[in-house]
Amino acid sequence: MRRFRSSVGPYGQTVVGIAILAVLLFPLAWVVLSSFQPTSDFYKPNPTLIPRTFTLENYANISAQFGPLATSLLIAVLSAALSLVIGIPAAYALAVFRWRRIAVAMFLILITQVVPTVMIATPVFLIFSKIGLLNSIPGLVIANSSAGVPFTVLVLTPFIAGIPASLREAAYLDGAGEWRTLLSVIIPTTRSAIIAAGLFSFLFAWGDFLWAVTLNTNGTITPLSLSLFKFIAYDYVEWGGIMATATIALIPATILLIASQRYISLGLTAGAVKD
Amino acid sequence: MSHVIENSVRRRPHGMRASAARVLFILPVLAFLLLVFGYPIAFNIWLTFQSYDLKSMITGVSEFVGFANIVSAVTDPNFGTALLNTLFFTLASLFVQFIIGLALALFFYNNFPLSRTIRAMLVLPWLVPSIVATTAWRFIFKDPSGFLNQLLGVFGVAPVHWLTSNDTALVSIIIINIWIGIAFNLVLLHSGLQSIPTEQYEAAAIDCAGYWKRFWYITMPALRPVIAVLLVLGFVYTLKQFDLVWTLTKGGPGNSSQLLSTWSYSLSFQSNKFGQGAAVADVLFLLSGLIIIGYTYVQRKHANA
Repeated sequence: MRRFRSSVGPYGQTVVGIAILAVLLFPLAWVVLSSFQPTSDFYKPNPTLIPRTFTLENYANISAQFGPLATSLLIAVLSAALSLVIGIPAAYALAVFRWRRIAVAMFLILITQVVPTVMIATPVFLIFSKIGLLNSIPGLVIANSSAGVPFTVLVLTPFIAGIPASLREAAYLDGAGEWRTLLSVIIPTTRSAIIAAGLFSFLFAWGDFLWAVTLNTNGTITPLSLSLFKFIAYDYVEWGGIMATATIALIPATILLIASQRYISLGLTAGAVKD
Repeated sequence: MSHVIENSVRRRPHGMRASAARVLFILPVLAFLLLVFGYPIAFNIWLTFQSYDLKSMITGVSEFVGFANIVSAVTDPNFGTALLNTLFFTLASLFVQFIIGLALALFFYNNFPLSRTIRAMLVLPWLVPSIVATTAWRFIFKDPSGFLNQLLGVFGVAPVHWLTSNDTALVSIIIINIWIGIAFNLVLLHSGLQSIPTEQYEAAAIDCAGYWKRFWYITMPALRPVIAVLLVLGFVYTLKQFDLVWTLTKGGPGNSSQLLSTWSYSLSFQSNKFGQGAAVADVLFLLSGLIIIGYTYVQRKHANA
């Protein structure tokens, strides 16, 4: 297998790899690069990948998007925090406690991965409208954590189960209770998996569109995805502004990918989960 | 043996207090899952049999209508379209994503300079918000002067109305969905390849087995469990897809790109036929459930054999 395509040589493979990357990232590269060209250039007959004239005016014109940007950041950070706060103790309990119904509990958590979001969208909308969580940050945080919480539990449980029991018992002997053990033994030893779970919970909420469009009925709360959607739907001419907003929306994913490569692939393979 | 350990654990002096504290570990997750999954699922099933409309939202009053919602949803001509579109969308996306993902995983199995970095960067389309993906592709599919039409023009092909024609809208969205899903397949298959012991390949090399022979007789059988998980999860996740269609075509033109998910949503939130929307969502849930049950059944059979 390693000798697959020995004719090209390692650097030849690098060239092929970069070519593949260029093709697959082309749509995103276009968004970023075109955000630096004046809107009028979007209507010229031959679109170019490299802007003919370089300008920052698109970014100067989208100050209206700063509010949505802050809203999205707040929702995503709080969703990640909520997912970890609820998910970590649950994963610990499922991994360590000897309860008879644990298989059932794990199965129920797996089921959540199968539930189509549109199936719970209507009921959650009706419930939230009754208890006053529509058009609110807490409402969106709770709804978005419906992806992050089960994901955190599914990713962390096998990791915590893999910690040698002797480590926990040593903590018991030192007089630490369950919470103490969780905080000072379990969390430090599963740090990578926790970071991965937090990252994904953040990204689930950051990328959310369905909840944003469903749970905001009066325009008081506008996450970035919703604001970009309205931008495209109602104002189909300001391509420059649209591309600049889209560029801002793709920045967190890019930064997280570059800064925490190994956590991303850990989360992807451990959870094998995508919403 | 395990019995003895269990007993010794139970006899721990602070056993009683511990078990009370233990409930606190599981209580928040239980409450949360009940709020966002348990109760809503039950609510949705209840809605399926109710005459719930805009008025009911205010008054809270609705009537039991039996199977009326299910009957009117299933006999609606849109149902057949949405069901077939959903199956085509899901199977076509799965198949192509898998083939491309497998090819890339095999390619990146060779370690060459920068291979790790390039492989990591390939995950980007999967990580960006769906609305960013649709913005990018809207521009590529732009009619008549978008990038793809310009490219086709070089080969003398007339501009295609990608997202605005009945014939191509669904296919266009499938292309985008494939683009998003390649990374998921690549990462899982790549990690599957890593876990195949290299001795197997070395033994095969001694037997002078060619590349394809090694691929069919060593790689593929070893990957089978990963592939099974990948396809089952891929099926379930693709079935749920909503954002792409909603932000690009809203199921149109006509109903040519309508999926069960988008149709259910528009029944509920645009026509306020909450009962019918719920019925269509049930169908979607059942489809996922059937796949999962089928998968578990096959797994069990394998395990017992």
